[in-house]
Amino acid sequence: MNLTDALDDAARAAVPDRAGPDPARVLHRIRRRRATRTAGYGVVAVAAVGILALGGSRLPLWDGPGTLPPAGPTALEPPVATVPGVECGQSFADVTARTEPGVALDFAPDTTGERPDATTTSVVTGRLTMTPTGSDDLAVMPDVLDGVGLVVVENDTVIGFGTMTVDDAAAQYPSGVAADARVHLAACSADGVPRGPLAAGRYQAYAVLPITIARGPDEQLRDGFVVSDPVLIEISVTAEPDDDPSDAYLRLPECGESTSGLTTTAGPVIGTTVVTVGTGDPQTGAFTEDPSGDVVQVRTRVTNVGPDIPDATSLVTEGVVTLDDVVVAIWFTPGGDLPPVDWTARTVRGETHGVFPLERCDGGGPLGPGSYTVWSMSVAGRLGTDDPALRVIHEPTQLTIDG
Amino acid sequence: MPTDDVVTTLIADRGRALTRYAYLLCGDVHDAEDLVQDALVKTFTRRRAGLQVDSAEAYVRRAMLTLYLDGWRKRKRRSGRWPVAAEPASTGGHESASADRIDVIAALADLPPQQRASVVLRFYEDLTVAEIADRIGVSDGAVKRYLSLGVRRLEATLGPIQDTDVESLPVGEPR
Repeated sequence: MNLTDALDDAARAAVPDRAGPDPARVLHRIRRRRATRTAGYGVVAVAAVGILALGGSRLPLWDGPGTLPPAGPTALEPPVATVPGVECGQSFADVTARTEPGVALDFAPDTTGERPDATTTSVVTGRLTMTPTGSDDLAVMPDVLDGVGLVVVENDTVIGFGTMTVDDAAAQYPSGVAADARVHLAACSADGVPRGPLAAGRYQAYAVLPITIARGPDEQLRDGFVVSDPVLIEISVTAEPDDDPSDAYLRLPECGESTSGLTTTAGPVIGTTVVTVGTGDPQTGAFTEDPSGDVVQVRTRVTNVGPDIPDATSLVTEGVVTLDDVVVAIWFTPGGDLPPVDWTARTVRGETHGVFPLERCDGGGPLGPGSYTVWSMSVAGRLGTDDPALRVIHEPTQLTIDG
Repeated sequence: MPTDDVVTTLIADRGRALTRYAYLLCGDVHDAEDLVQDALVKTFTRRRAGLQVDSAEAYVRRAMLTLYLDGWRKRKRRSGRWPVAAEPASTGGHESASADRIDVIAALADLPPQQRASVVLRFYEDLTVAEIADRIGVSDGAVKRYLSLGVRRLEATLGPIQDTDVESLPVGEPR
């Protein structure tokens, strides 16, 4: 078989004469994303990563039964999350003290050079393996690799995390499981959240899997960790501009995506958004409440609970309408070009955004009868900064359209 | 050319080619269309002054690869929307040719993303090892390993594949 010809033939057969994406829909999504990211992002420095492996002692054996829960991040979370049970600033000795033997975890990184298209986090790839070392009746399933994270340690203090994306095609061997993994690394910020790149230098890191030791399905004995040998992470290049910093921050799901994992968030700002469906004219702002209409009137009221936010830019709000936890329509306010203002603590910015088209994901007209949920997110930016804490998801509201 | 015009022109002129490339990464036409759309949004959310269609396509292709390698499809599946099975070719041709298409897509589906991407970039996009390494963000040696493992796994399903001696591949120039 000629592989080049076979690939070309398969691609042509599957995509014969399709025109590709709908330009109008793509442009709408671009404008929506622009609106929510122009509220004060700065350039985010990133770093490329080089890796050297260190030796280390193997974990002691453990001969008890165990359950190994998958705990991967979802698309709705920031790209780098902490490992459950491990916090920024924590002593890593507290983690290793709760190490459970019986399973060996290894992360063998590929040496990575400069990475011109680096994203908001440092990225490294490698091979992740997990092997039972003690009890013969301990089964290690491929899904367990989804729960592994990387913990960056300096002077026994947790200073960063890496979220692993593990291949779907994890290989199952009699001796365990293995998969290629891609790790996004971020340093702990002052508020204890992994965010932004690690500075240039060398750090020790460990692959860590939180596990629950149980006796049968009903009796949980204790929580613990499987910890790999140490790996040395070398940040060799610094400060490249980010390609798309908006990906690093909280966002609402897109059309067709699920909101099942979405939760209300709060930060220095908290707020409410009232969305009313009706008929009207987005150009003139004319509006009449009508559940069968195809526009929304958006009224947002956001309070800064403190501290003061200097140079606060215009408030931007976007929303999604869901049916059975799946996004079926979206709207967004394009935001204003008002000059930045200092937003004093404990004051309210009540902004009636006006009337906007409600766009059904399938391109149809008004929403049909049904019981919908409306989620909205406000972005209260600061000029020249990229504080994700100023992005908040409000309490969802219900929208019922009778038949 | 205004950015919106670049987007419109890029979709009109290159949308099909981008979707074909995405299809070989994803193995499903609908996933491929979504991957192209997500990459376009990611690329053009930041206004890029002076970007022309040719250079824009390079950005979009890079974004498609990054999204794919970062577990884009896996996250989509977790959201509860996406079918898992690869879609067989839907049209045309002799029975044996159609079977070959299904075979090669099914065989690709068994490869981990980095191996699959390396194979597609090498044998469909005709990139060198060094160019693939740059795109994926790994060393030349890692790319050779991905290609070697990937081709070996494809051959286990498809039989002997012509002209795929990875060790003899030039690092810096296309074949």
